[in-house]
Amino acid sequence: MAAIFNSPSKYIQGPDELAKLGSYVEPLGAKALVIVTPSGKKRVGAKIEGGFAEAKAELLFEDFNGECSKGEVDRLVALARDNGCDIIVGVGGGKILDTAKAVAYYLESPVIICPTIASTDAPCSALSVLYTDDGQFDKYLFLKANPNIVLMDTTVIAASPVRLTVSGMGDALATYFEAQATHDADGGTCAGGKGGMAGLALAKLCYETLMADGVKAKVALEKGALTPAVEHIIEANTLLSGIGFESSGLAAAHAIHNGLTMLPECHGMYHGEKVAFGTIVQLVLEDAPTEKLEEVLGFCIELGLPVTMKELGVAELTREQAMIVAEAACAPEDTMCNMPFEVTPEMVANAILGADALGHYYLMDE
Amino acid sequence: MKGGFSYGAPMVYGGPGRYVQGPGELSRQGRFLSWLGCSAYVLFDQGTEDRLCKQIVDGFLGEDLSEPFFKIYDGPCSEISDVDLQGVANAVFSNERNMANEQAKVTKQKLVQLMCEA
Repeated sequence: MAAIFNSPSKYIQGPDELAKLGSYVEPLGAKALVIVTPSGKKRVGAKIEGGFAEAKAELLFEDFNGECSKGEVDRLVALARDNGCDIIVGVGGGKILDTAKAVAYYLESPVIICPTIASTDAPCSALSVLYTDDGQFDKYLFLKANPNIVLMDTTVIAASPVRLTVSGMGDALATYFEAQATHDADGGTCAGGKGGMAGLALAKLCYETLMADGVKAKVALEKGALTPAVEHIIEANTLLSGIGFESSGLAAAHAIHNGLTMLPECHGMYHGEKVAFGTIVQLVLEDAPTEKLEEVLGFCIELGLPVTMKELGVAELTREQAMIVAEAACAPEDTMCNMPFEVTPEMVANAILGADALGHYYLMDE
Repeated sequence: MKGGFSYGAPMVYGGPGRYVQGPGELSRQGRFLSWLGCSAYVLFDQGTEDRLCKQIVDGFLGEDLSEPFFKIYDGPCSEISDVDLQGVANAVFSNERNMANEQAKVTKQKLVQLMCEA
């Protein structure tokens, strides 16, 4: 099997970059459908329109309905066709961006992805995660290509709620451990091949950047300061983790995240918060050295990422609940098969109980 | 300043959308092309044809593609260096597909013949 490395054609990051969106649209299309929430439009709409005034391209704003589901994608495809839009732009969070990519896929048009938060590593990938209309994981939609451009306006991102960027660090925390597990298992990646050296190297750099700059960035963001550490963390959460997961593989941490969506108690938690706990479960499952566990648990506790099921909304974790998550995580179509050893639902349920107990221990909870 | 940034000069990363590496991948290139378009214009030089004709032709078999147009070109990489090349490319990309496809069939037959003789 071939080694495949996927990446966006261009990744652009800097303060106030959204003001230049028009000039980035110009070479790719004549009329952009800009998918955004009403509150997003309030925050960045004028900035975007200002840039389009000087560009040889038009734009049409459209409100996002709230869920990245097949129904919403179909609605936007029809709307783009009816209005002669030849390029799709998504401005907002993970679900809007996944929706924009899926719409562009069905239209066979270029797409520009403009995250206003750095809460997941989804923006760069050739992948959309579709949900059912009631918020449960539905399926991965594999796209023809990665976004033409991923545009990060760090002024906007630095002004977003800190919990979102911290959640992005939770998502990025898993990347290196899953990449290494997939490498060891000689498993397949979301890019449709084996991982190569480049993807694994970016995954490793992602982890090192989190350890070096994560706490610095969180503290700066709490005061609204856009420091170099914040820029590094935005790049780690988005580009490094994005290429890292797609081109070097997902394994237990994300499978456990998907399993956690089975528990209604966890629905209020962000993707990256569940992935952070999934990472600890993976480390318990593979019996990582104590020093590594302490480094990861210490990082999570310092940043306020959940290390127990209680923090994820489950008041008293039962073995039955752990088993529900574990069964779903071990579904054959999920990525548990990228662990370098055979994994059973019983093993995963025990790792969840073990990780939860470790979390309580290091929190000195009881 | 390490990791410094200034207004007006963003950090820009450019990359290929996809980098594929492995034994025999040239014979499987059609599986990627069929995602990106339906009519390929394949340009290669004489030396490449001598060495890799069979693999390149094989790469387009069994995929949901219309006949690709093969062109051997040994000229310089300049904007309009070869009027013929430009004309054929225009034929392909301005929907005069039938003409291009006729040429493609002839070229492919010739390539397959060369391949058999080799």
